[in-house]
Amino acid sequence: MTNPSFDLHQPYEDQYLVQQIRSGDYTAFTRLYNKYAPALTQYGLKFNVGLPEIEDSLHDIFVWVWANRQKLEVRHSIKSYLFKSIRTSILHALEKTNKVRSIAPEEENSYYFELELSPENLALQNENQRLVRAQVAGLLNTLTAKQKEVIYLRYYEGLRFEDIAANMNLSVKACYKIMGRAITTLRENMPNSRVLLLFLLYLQQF
Amino acid sequence: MEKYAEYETEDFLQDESFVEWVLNPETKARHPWTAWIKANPAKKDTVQQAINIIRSFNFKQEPVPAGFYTELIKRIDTTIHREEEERLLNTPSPFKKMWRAAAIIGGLLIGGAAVYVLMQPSRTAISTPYAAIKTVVLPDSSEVVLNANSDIRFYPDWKTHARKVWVDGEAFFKVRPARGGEAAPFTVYTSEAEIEVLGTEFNVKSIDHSTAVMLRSGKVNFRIPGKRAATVMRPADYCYYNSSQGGITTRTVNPALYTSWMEHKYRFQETPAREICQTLKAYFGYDFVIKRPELEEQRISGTLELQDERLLINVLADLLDATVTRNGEEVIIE
Repeated sequence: MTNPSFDLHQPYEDQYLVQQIRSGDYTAFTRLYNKYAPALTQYGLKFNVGLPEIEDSLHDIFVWVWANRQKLEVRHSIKSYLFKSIRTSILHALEKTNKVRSIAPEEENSYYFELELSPENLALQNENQRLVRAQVAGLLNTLTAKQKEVIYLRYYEGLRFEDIAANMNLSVKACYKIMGRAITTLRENMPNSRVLLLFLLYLQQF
Repeated sequence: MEKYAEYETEDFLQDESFVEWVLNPETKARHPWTAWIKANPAKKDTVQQAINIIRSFNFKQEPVPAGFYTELIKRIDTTIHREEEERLLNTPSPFKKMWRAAAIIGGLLIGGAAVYVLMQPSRTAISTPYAAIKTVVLPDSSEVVLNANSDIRFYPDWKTHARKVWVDGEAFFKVRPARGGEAAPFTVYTSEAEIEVLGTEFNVKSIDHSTAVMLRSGKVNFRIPGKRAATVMRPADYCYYNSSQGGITTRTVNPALYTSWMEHKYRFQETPAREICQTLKAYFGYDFVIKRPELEEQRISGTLELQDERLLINVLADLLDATVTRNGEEVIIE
C-alpha cells in the first residue's frame, strides 16, 4: 500500500502544528496547508466537481482556520476537521446547483463518489494480490457512494471510524454497518485458494 | 486479544488497531499484531484475506495542474492579509474616523503607487498578517524574518537586478556575502532610509515615518538620502531617524532586546509605556489605550509573551501596576 500521507507520528505532528498555529505562527499554517491541500483536493474531486469549486472551498476553509485559530482544539484531529470542512463545502455547492438531491444521511445514493483503483503497479508482487485487486476493482462499481467514501477515508486516508461517522453525519454504528455491508460483499467474492502459501511469503517480510 | 480468535475477515477489516497495523508498515516488526498472528496459525487465511483487501485499496490520483497549490496559497495569503486590515479599519474606537480618513488618503497613495509599480518590472511582495511572523529566503539565500503586519518587496531575479529589498514594518536580516554573478552591496530601503550592507545581521523597523536599525554583527552604512545624512554602524549600535525630528541618533544597545520578537517575545528595558503600547499595536493591530496620562511616560522593563494574549495582559498589568482590560478591539490601561 503506497500512501505517502501516512505517518505513524501524524497525530502528534498535527497536534504540534495546531499548537504553533494557535500561537500565531504563520509558517506552521503554511505547513498545514502544504501537508493537506493535495489530499483534500483528491478527496474533493471524487464528488464529481471541478477544480475551480475545490479551489474556492479550500480557500475559504484555510482562511477560516487562520482567522479562527484560537478556536482550534489541539486534541481533536485537524486532518479529520479539514476533511469534514471540504465535504460540507462541496456538498453545499452541489446542492445549490441541484446536482445533489439532499445530503440527508438516510439516502444512500444522493451524491456521487467516484472511486477507481490506481493503475496496476509493481507493489502487487504476486498473482493472488492481482486477483484480489481485479475483484475489488469490479466490486467498487456495485457499492454505494457512502460505502465507497467510508472505504476511502478509512483505508486510504487512515481516518478513524469515529471521525468518519462525525464527518458524514452518521452514528458510529451506522458507519460500521455501511462498512460491514461493503466488506461482506467483497469477502463473498474473494477466492480462498493459495492464501496460505502467500501468507507464509508475507510473514517472511518481518 | 482473545476475542480475535473468533474474528472473520470483515471483523479484522473493522478493527482499528488491525487496520493501523496494516497501514503503517514501519511499526510492524515490534507490533502486538505481528506476535498474535505467529501465535494463531489457524487464523492465517482470514488475516491474509483482510490484509490483501486493505492493500488493494490504492486509489487513482486525479491530475492537478502544476502551480495549482502555489497559486491557491498565494490567494489565501492575500485574503488573510486583506481581512486583517479590514478588521483594523472597522475597529470601533475614538480613532475610527481618523482611520477612515487615513484609509482614504492611504488608498489614494496606494493607487498612485500601484500605477508606479505597474510601470516597473514586477517585484515579489511578501507580507505578514497581524500577530504572525514569517521567515523568507531571498534569491541569494539571505534570510529575512518578517515581523507581524510587515511587508518586503524585491525583484525576483538578482542576476540582472542588484540585491535590493524594500521594507515596510519590521524585519531582521541575515545577509549572505555576495557570490559570483551577484552584486556585492545589499541594500535595504525604507520610506526614508537606505541601509547598505556587506554580509551582516541587523534589524530594521520602519513605521510612521521613522526608521530604526539595530546592527547585531558586521557593518552597515545607514543613510538618509533626503537629508544627506549618513552614519557607519558598528555591532550593537542602534540608529534612529524620524523625518519630523531631524538628524540620525545613535546609541549602544543590548541586541537581544531588538530581536526577541523572533521568538514571539517582546523584551524591553526602561521603556516608556507609551512606546510599548505602540509596539503592541503594530504587532496585534488593535489599540492599546492609556487612560491615565501619568502612566504614559512611566518606564518599565520586562518581557511579554506575544503568543499568549491573556498572560500578556496580566503581565502588563503587573508591570504598570494598573488595570488592563481587553474591550473588543481595544485594550484599556487605567
